[in-house]
Amino acid sequence: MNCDHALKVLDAHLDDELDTATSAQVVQHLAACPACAARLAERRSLRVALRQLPREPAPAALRRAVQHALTRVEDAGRARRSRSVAWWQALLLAGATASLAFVVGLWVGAPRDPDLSEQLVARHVASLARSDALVAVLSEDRHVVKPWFAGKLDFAPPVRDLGSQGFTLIGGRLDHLGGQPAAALVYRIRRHEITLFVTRAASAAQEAPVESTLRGFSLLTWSAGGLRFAAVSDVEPRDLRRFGELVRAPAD
Amino acid sequence: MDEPSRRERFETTILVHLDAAYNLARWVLRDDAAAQDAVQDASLRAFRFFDGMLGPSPKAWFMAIVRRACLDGLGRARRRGVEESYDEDAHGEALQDAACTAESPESLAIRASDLRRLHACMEMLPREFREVLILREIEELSYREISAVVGVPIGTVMSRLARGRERLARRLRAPDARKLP
Repeated sequence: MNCDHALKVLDAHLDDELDTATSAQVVQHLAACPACAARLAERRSLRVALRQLPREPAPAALRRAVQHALTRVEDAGRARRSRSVAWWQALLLAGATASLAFVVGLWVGAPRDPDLSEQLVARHVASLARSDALVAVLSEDRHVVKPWFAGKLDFAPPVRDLGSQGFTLIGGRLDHLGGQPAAALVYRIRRHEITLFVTRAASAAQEAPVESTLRGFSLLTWSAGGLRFAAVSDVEPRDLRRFGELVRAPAD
Repeated sequence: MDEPSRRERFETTILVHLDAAYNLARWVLRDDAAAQDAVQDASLRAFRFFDGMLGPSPKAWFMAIVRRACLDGLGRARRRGVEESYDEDAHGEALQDAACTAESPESLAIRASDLRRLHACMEMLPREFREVLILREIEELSYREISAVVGVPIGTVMSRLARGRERLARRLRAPDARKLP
């Protein structure tokens, strides 16, 4: 090993990140080369010095602020759940006061996973109820929306620009679905919002689109490329079907 | 919906690293108040996404979120027109900082006792070197963990550490010291 090579791997040697064979070569070189040995000694004293830098503990005020904030998040979660219960109770009451046939009539297709359908509608409606909760990144540009998710999820949701087909991208936010982190992409067509939830699929298997409706909401779910897609909106089912086709169309 | 135990798990796996988080944030942002804001923000983000936590090292996972929150904080400050504090890269290597320049021209060795000077020299390093040095030397993370925190390949971690240490050593050596090869 010559000096050039030794200096390149000297830090990894110091950090104990070299494989045994290379480390042995470094040791051998150092024994014969005072300049490189001096460099390593300097590195070691630098390490000793750096490790003496005071490590300021997190201030008590910060710890308190974090604890308060966590409690607020938990409370908000509980309140949101009870609010959504109240919402459904009110809806059920309204449904009951109408007619049974009317309520039954709204269940056009039997949802494949009733629990998921409920959640989809609940998350969609909750985001519409508060304007500040609809999107965390507001942009019609998919080159802004897509990178926004980087580092926030362990998958990259495909973001399509469907503006010329009438589906305007509004933005995206982080959400959760079935206990899993989800990317929520919001599109708009003729004043109707469509939320497209993207989560990790349980398997890489393709799943053909399944349409259903729930209390006037159209739902569409499918899986592709290891991702599970679920679109929900109050548009006509055929509009949502077209939306799904466009999202699944091969990228241009 | 098992919230108390979720919170407890969060405290024992993530919040135990709050000191480390605060230390990293202070070194990245070089401002105590901004560091507190960033760590609080990061703790909340971590709490929200705790269930989707990835990788074998909760500490590295949390530190990555803290670093991201710091960079978001820097971005916000820049947009508001707040000058980011001094950065060596932006001002050129030639500029001398009184606190960092060696006061004893004959000393070649690094004076471990002079922590104030070391601190000043560290603060003058560009952020990409500063953060890997803190993660490696103070938090003692492995190259693999640092690579996950900073989001660069392990080879880049290695070269940033080498270059960062070299810059630091060069500054700590006396100004007239002969250049090592």
